[in-house]
Amino acid sequence: MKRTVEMISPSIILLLLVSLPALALGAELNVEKLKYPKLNEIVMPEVQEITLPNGMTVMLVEDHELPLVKMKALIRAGTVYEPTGMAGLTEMFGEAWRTGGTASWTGDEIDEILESIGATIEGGIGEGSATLSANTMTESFDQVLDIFREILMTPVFSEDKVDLARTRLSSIVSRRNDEPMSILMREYRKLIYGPASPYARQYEYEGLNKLAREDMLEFHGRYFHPNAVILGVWGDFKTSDMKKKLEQSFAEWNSADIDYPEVAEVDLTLRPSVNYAEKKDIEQCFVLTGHLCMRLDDPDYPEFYVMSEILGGGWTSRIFKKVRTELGLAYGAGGGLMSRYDYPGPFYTFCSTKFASTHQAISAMLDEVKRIRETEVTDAELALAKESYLNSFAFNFDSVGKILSRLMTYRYHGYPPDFLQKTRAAIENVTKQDVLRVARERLHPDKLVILAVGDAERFDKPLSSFGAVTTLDISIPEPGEAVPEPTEASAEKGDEIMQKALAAMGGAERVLSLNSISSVLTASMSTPAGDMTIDMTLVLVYPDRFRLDMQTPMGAVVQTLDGDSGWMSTPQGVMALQGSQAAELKKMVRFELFSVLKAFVRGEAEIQYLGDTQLDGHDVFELLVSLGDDASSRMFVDKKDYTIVGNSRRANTMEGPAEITEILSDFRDVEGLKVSFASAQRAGDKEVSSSSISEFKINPEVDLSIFAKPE
Amino acid sequence: MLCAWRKRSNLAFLLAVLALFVLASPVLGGTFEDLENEVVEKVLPNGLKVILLPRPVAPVVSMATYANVGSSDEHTGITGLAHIFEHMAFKGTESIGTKDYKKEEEAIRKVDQAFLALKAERNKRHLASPEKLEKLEQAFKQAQDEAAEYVVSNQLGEVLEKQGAAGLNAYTSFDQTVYHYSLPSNKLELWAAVEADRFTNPVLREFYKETSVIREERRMGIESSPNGKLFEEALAAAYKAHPYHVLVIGHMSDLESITREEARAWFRKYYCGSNLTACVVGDVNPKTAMSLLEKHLARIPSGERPVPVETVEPAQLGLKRINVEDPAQPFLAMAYHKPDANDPDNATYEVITTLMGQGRTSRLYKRLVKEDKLALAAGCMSLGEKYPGLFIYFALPNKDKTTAENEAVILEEIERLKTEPVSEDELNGVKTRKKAEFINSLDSNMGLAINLANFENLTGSWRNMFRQLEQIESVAAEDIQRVAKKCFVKKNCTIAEIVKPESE
Repeated sequence: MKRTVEMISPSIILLLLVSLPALALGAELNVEKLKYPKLNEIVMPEVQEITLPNGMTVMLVEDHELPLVKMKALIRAGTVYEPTGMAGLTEMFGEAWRTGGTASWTGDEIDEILESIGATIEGGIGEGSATLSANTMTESFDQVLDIFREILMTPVFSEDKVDLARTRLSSIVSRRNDEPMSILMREYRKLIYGPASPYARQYEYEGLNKLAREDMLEFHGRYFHPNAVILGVWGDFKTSDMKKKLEQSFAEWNSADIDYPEVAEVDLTLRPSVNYAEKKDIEQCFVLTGHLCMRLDDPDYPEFYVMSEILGGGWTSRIFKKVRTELGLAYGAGGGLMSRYDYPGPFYTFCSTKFASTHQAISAMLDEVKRIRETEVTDAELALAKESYLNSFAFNFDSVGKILSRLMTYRYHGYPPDFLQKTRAAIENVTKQDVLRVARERLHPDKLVILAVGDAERFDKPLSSFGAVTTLDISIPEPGEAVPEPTEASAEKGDEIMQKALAAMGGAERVLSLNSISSVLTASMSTPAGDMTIDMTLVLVYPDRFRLDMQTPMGAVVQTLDGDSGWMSTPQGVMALQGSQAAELKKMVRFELFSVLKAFVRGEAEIQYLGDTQLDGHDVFELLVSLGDDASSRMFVDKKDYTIVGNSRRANTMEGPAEITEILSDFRDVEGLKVSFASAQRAGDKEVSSSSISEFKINPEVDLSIFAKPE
Repeated sequence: MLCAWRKRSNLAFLLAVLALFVLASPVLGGTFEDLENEVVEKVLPNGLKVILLPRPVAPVVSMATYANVGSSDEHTGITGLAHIFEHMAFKGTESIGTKDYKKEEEAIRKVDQAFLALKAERNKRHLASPEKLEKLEQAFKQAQDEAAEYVVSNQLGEVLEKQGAAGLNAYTSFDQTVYHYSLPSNKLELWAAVEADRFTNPVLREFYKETSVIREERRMGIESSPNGKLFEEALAAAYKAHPYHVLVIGHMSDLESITREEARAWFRKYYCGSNLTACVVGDVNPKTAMSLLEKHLARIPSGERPVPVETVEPAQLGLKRINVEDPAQPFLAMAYHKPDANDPDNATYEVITTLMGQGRTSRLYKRLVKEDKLALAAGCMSLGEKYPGLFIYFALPNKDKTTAENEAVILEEIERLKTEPVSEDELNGVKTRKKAEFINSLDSNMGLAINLANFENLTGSWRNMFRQLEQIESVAAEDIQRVAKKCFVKKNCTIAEIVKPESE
């Protein structure tokens, strides 16, 4: 862009000429030549810290700029203490805590009082702590403190507000697959921490339906004591007055011994995997790659911070420059450490890109991760990362609330109060060699957990080019379908029953010697076009090859699974199964009776005893079989002779997700194995098909080429 | 324009999408005379207005450059251009971001030519020759690769971040384009020098790569989001003439065809001194700071303030209903045409917004969320300030509840607004909440900088930021009834909802 001099008024030209030492002639800007005055000193506010007689820690800062007072209490009562089998308790607590009222006021009364004075009090429970915050104009502080205190000490969780919380949380469950980003975040946490971890645990309709007001009262009674509280107050008050007020206010709250359950350490073993969650109604693939990495107090953190800024932090990072600026593949692209004070966070890279550039964008990110482990970063990159951090340091101190909140957080997690200053000092000393060392030691591009949310049919290259793909089931279980969490007793009894069932079905040795089976059967099923009888042959080569040939009235139909992929042949031609169809078929094969028994013998199946029930007139034990990565089914074992007489599993059918139950009968001995020759299948309560076997072979010779997709 | 990626809860994510459509709404003013008297202003010879507010809380300073141009200044064929230019303003200048500007300029010219040739062939549509297209695409790619040789990637961001810039970003709305970040306060001159340079000699380098990034932004924010899709359809239905008809991001096909020359013309027309306001809030000495700012910002060329949009949205002739089919859970939006921010009734609309849709005692929250348990969230908001905009009620139905049930209750509450005067207690509560909201808004340098610039441009003076409380204070129960009767009528309404796809 050229501007002619005529467009600028003469007085400005004069101004430019006399007073532009920093600018070269011709309006060329050289920012390196700008000279800056000394930065005014950061004035640290005085933080008064006291411990009340009942053990409550109080931190106070006066700040009279605005006529406001703010409060924040941190209470040691996080999701990590949620009892097993009660996922959703802390979320429901957080919803109903403030709305459910206290000994003196109903929640609705609190709403009215606070809003009439323009104040807010809001609370919630996070992974590591509960938080209650307040904001009020100075003149109303006493009134707000009264309510704040009662919400802390005597919440009553009124039944109607617990119900409201249940309704709201159920609605949140129902909406959790609407936005790709929320699928990505949630499923990624489950992948790296495991689905049962307090850092990834997900609540379901069923669990919400079971939670009651008493559970919240009990949780409150157990953890909410003054010695578990750090209270910060800042704003427009006199410290000496505030001390007195708080002492009086909390005088009747007594300390108590709190028995904290042990929180399991995060297992840092890296388990690489490539995962896919299908979402077809969007226009971009949302991707996370990464692995568990470190906590903020890790000795490598300062070096790692500098490295991750160069790699993925903001405008100037390598990933941003490559994926966004240079290739134009994404609007959002970057990476870094999800930093956590109390448990290890992952290192990650993220982008979202149109489906047709999914593979290209992931590859570009991974190349950058590999590259930063190969050679030292440049002097300029190092200087930029360090100077950005050091020069923006003042922003850590631009509000009293920010400063006090940080100190409270440090204290809560047992970090030194000068943790920030120590980090700064360490960052000042980071060298290029440190960056390379930390990249080599702490980044593991060969052990990444990759998750892509999108429509695989529209990807430029299949995700399997990054490794074997697991398709995640993100469907939302209706009540009754949620998998309960195991307890020691249920696992022990489940194991015992399963051992007996294994013996009844032929024994460990016989089951392990099974390499393949084949059978000829006749199935009758009801279809929209009327009842239909179909002859079929089935071949299964353990663990993951399967072929079903069907003679249908429309012609021959073949359905095949060959490892992770599959295909289908109909009179219309041959087509590959979609990712989700192949995954569904693979699940079916994994839950075939003898597949499950093999997994059990090898210690790969987790069994839980769920209770006694009835199946088709038999008294049975109901077992839950979990095969890892979220897959599970129920198995029914006859109480009399421990024959496995049925199983039930949630599956995606043509009509949508349904609970499919299979009832087995006509057991015969085939070379030492107990094999069912007749079965019936139900979807929900409705019988949809039945089949009978006319021929069953153990370890037949199988030509593996029958599984390969015909060209 | 930079996407920060962070952890969000499901609901927060949904609402964040909504927030995309809420423009920075004016906050209230009151009797904060001391603060008002601290403000220093000056119009530079090129017409650019500088507004300074010293706030020595910490040694930092926040700056906002407000360009009085937004997507409502676009027309068919160049939708999305205001936002494209916003992105381009981060690409550097003749001195920042280049290895050799002379040679780069030549290379960029070749990229332009190659794109025009490609575009001409593409415009033949069915008659275009596939071989020729391939060749032209090759040539276009090669020209871009050659121009890339001279680029120092993202240098503008580097220069600023190295000196400690925080929150470097910008946004474009219907009514304005705002560039903002914060610095340690001793680096104020860096901002002034770079800002002057980028609005005097911007180089729109890597233009066609950046429009590709913006197409991804559209795919992410609109096409992969049920609520994004809904709002795009709702606006298109609500406006037939006025440019508020189109979302800021623009149409995909325009993002594929807009040329660099069109963006340059946009810059020349809208980025002259008289169309810009620079706001600085933080730890600065007003006297020395003003002369420092003047030294640099006065370089920006002067020019005539562009003519505003003259198209007026005609009165609506009847209820409009829009369905967006999506497998997501339902969403309901009910949009009524309302006057612009300078209408004498503006404060009444603000009061209605709080009364009906903000906070736990607001009428919609009480009815829909607490009592009838029909909605997970419900509220209202306004869209568009410079020209007559929309007043939008929205509800996210709870599981197994419908948009129809929510709509019925919203209509009931609207009816109540028209027929029953608001009690004194309830009205006072609303006014108190507005006051608290205003005081809390004074806590942030950047919030203040953007608000001052907004008031200066949208209402004619930054001083109106301090007048808002008085205006809110003067709203009476009768005003609410009168405005509700005028605005919230069926004929003036567009109802948009997410529904399950027909085939499922």
